Amino acid sequence: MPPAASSDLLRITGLAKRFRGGGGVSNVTFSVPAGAVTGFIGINGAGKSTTLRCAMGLLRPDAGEIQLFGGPFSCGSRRRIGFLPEERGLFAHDRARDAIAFHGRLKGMARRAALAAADKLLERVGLGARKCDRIASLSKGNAQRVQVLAAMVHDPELLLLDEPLSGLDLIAQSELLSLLAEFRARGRGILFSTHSMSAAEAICDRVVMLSGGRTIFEGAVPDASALAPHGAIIVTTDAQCLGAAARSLGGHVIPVTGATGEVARWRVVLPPEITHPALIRALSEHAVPLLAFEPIKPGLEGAFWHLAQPQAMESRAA
Amino acid sequence: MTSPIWLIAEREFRTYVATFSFWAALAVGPLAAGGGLLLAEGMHNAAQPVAIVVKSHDPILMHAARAALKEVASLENRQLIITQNAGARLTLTTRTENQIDLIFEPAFPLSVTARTLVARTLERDVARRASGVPLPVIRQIPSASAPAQRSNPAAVARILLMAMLWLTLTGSLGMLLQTVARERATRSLESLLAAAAPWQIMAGKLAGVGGVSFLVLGAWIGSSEALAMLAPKPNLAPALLAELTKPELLARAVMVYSLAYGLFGSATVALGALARDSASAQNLSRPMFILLMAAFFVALTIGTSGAAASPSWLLYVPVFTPFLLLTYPAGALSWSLQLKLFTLMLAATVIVARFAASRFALRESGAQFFGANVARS
Repeated sequence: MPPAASSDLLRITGLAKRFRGGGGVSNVTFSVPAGAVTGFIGINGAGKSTTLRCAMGLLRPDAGEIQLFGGPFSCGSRRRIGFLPEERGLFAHDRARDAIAFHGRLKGMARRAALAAADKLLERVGLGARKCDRIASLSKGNAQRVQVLAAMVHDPELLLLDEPLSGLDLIAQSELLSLLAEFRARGRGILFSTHSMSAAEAICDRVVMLSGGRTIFEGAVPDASALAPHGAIIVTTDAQCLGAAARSLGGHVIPVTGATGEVARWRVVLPPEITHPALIRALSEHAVPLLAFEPIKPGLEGAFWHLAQPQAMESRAA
Repeated sequence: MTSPIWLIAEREFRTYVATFSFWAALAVGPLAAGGGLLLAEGMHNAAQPVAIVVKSHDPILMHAARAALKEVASLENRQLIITQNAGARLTLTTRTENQIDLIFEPAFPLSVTARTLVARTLERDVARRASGVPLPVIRQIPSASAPAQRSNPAAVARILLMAMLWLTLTGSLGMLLQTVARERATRSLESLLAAAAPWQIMAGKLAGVGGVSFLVLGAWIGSSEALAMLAPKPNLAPALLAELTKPELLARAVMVYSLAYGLFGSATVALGALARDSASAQNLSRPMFILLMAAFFVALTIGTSGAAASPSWLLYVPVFTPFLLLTYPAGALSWSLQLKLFTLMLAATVIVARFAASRFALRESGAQFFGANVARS
C-alpha cells in the first residue's frame, strides 16, 4: 500500500460499505493526488459510485477512513470539491447558464462571478449559443455537458466525476477530456470513473482498478498496462486438450466466467515470445474443438481483465 | 455570499411562479371575490321593491294592515310598495265583530311565518284600538349567556381565517410533496446534497414553496378586501374587514400560519423522503390530508356551534392546534395558554423537522445523515 503523500487531495483507506440488498464495497484503498487525473475503473457493480458517494459524505461508511485535503469530511471541504453524481439532477426548467451558475453560487460564488464563469465554460465546450436554452430543450449529451460544467464552475481543487463520458459522442468526449487536461494543468486533482479504457489511457496519469468491492490495482497507467498478459481468450468444449496445448508452449489456462454446459471460456496465458499463430498451431495439433478465439488486448483493458479475474472468481464462489 | 437556503428557496419559488398554473391560482381569488360581489349584487337586486295591493272595506283596518305589512317585510329584508291595482293582493274581510279574514294571494311576497306575524300585529292594533289603553312597550335585551349569532362578524372572520389556513396548507403541501418525491425518485437530490446540508435543502424547499403559497394567499386576501371596499351596498363586508384588520387577530394568524406550515411542511418532507416515487408519496400522505380535513371540520363545528366559549382538550393535539387557535375568540384563550400552544407547535415542528432532515438524504444512508453531517462538520 503506498504511503500517504502530503499532496493527496483525497485518501481512502480500507473503505467498507454494505447494503441490506447486497452490493457495496469491502476494502477500497487509494489516493488522489493534486495535479493528476486518476481513472477509476471497474465493471458495473464494482463499487465505484458507492465509493464516490462515501467520499462526498452522501453515505456513511461501515468501516475505513476518508480524508479530504488532509482531514475528515466537513462542510468546508465540500465547497472545495466538484461532484458529478451518477444520476444527473438538473432542473428541466432552468436555462443552461442559470443551472451552472446556481451550482456555483451554492458553492459560495457571487452571482455575477458565477454567471460569468458559466458563460465562459459554455463557450469553451461550444455551447455558447445555447446558453439561454432550457435544459429540457437540450439533447442528452448537451445536458450531460452542462451537468459536468456545473460540477467545475467554482474551480474546485478536486473533481469527482461519476461516469462523465456516458452519453457523449466522440467529439464531446474529446472536448471534455481536453477540458479536464486544462484543469489538471492548473494543479487540480481529478478522479473520474469510466468504462472507457481508451479514454482512461488517453488522459489518466494514474488508475485505480476496482473489482468485487476491492481495490485490485493503484498506480501509474504504464505500470498497469505492463501487467497485461500475453495470450488469448478461447471458447471450447475440451478443457483437457486446451490445457495440454497451453502447457506444450510453456503457458497455462485460467477459467473465465460464462461457462454454459460443456462449453467454457478460458484465458490462455503465454510466454512473451510465443506468437498467436504458434498458439493456433498447437491448438490444432492437440485437436482442441475451437468455438471462439480472441487475442487478449494489450494495455489497460488486458491488465484489468487479468487483475480482475481472481476477484471475479472469488466473488462468484462466495 | 448567499446562503444555500435562500438559493434553493429562490429556485423553488421561481420554478412555480414561472408556470401557468401559478397565475391561474393567483387569479382564482380575485375572480371568486368578484363572483361573490356579483352574486351579492344579484341578491341585492332580488330585494328590489315589490308592488302589492291591499283591499279592505274598513279604511282604519286597511291602514293598520299596511303598517303591519311594512313592519314585517322589513324583517324579511323586503321592500313593499302598496299600489291601487298592480301586484299581489291581500284582502281583509270582516266576517263578524270578532273575526277578520286575511286572504293572501299565493304569489304574495311574504313567507308563511311573516304572514302569521302580520295577522298577530293586526290583532295587537285592533286590541289596542278597542281597549283605548296604551299597550306597554316590550324591549328585548340580548342575554350575556346567549350563544353567539352565526352572522357575528368576529366569528365569521375567525372561521374565514381558519378555512384559508386549510386551503393554503393543502395547496402548498401538495406542491412540497411533489418536489421532494420527484427529486428523491430521480436521485437528482445528490447534486444538491453535494453542495448543501440536508437541513439547508429542506429549509430552502419549505421557504420557496411557502413563499409561493403565501403570495397566493396575500393576493387572495388583498383582492378580496379591495373588492369588498368597492361593493355598492355592503352589509357584512365592512364588519368583516374591521375584524380581519385587527392587529391582535392578524398577529395570531401570522404566527399560527407560520407554525402550521412549518409543522405540516416538515411532515410532508418526511413523507416525501420515505416514498420511492410520486405514487407512493401520494399514498403515504393520504392519512395526513385526512387528518387535516378532520381538524378543519372539528374546528368548523366548534366555531359555528358556539362551543368556542370553552377550550377543548383537542387544542393540545398538534394536528388540531392551529385550526382551533384560529377558531376560538381571543377572550376564550389566555395569553399564557396561547404561548403554551405556540411552544407546543414549535416543539412538534422541531421534532418532525429533525426526522424529515434525517430522511432527506439517500435511502441507503439510513436515518443518521443529519446527525452525522453536523457532527463531522
